Amino acid sequence: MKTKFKIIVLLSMAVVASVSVVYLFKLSEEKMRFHNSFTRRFPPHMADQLNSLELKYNSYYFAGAADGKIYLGNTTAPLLVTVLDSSLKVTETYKIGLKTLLPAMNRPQIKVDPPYFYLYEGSIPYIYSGFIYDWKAKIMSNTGYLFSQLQPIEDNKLAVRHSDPLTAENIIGTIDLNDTLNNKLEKKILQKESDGIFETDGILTGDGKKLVYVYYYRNKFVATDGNLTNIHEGKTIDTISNPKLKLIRIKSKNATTFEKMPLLVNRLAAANEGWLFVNSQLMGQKEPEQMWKSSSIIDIYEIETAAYLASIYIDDIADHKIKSIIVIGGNLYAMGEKQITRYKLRRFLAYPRR
Amino acid sequence: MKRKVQIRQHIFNGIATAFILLFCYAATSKIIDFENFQVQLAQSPMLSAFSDELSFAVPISEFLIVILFMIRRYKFTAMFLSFTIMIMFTAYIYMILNYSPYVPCSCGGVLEKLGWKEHMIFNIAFILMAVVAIIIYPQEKLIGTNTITDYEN
Repeated sequence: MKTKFKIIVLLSMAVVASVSVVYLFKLSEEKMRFHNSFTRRFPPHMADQLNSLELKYNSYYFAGAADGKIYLGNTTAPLLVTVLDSSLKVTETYKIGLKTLLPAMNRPQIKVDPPYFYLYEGSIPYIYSGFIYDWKAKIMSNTGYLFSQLQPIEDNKLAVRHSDPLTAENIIGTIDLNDTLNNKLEKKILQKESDGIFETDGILTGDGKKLVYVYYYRNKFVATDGNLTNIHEGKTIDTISNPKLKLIRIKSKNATTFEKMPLLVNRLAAANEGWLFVNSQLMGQKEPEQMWKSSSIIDIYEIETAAYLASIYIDDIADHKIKSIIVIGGNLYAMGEKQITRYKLRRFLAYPRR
Repeated sequence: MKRKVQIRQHIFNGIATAFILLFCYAATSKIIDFENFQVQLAQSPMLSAFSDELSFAVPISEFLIVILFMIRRYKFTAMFLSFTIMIMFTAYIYMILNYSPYVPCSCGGVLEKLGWKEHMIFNIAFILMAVVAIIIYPQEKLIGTNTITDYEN
């Protein structure tokens, strides 16, 4: 065999070998990210547990996070706001001052989106708002519509999940507190298949730029911009594409309820910098059962492309599954019964994808 | 002339031995901890979708190459295959370092990248060794005697 010939064979083999690896990579990534047959991957150091903060009560909840601060509300002291820094030190506490009398609110909730904060209940259609500089709130809106979830978008603009007054179906809408003429309802966001109430139930969240709605009972989320245009759907990696719901009508009470406990697919969700974090309730292929007993699984997606990236384990806190999560500044904070635990995420998760 | 051929044969055999050791070690360590290897492949950011198939294909091909090395008439082929598989491994590392959403390594910080880069240098060294071995290999007549009929100066 002549040297020249050998070199030609070597070069062509090198080309074939490299091209086949690149092709395999493309194929695999495509499958993992967009046509996943429910195989999770847990890269090391995706989320490293750091420190915790012990809370006195189990009534705290995440009201918002921005600029290195985390804002906590408290359901039993509804006007109390506790501010933590990114390392979970309590830095300030405030009491919201109301300029007008509180209408019959039982369990008002706070959302903080600096420089604004909002106080609302949803089962009565009032929304208070104010600045976090003085924590003084006044009634800004009375839409007449009831709503059940609220997610700030930008300057006094909010996304809410309305309940249609006639059919009780869930509809995503926006409320502009500066000019309620701009309020909007968009029926196209939530996909109705049967009842439009239970089946479309889910979690409304967002990262400030995008709004995301994650369904409880099917493997789907919907993302849209703050104007409720540009709607696109994404698939979570499990295989439940149709809600497994059995509903029953109780005539004497004129109510519809679950006949069987529904199969919950996605339990919690949070978004930050273009990434979506979803706590799934379903076990994937080749996963250790032990981990499911002692932790919750969070799947990470890229909102824009709906690509699955990776999954992480969040340990149970004092034998309780975590109650909620919030992500800010490259940290994930998990709320347990009486404790918040901080996880440092891989650096690239602190920024939008390049 | 004869002596020169012998030296080339020795070099070729030396490099072949290095490959035999490398593949034996690599394949054996995968099989000994096969379950762990499968999990690691499944967690790889690139090939996770084909981890089942690859977890068998990789050690089997490594052993196959070792066997081919030990059969006299196939050792030249084995060297070509070693070259190819090393190119594939290296392409894999290159893709991980440059195109993967994350680097799959258990250590943090700077070491994370260094480990893979060192691995890449190691691979490239083996690729070069295979190239040298193939180029200098004095082609023997495949059937019959040991007379050298086809080699260049």
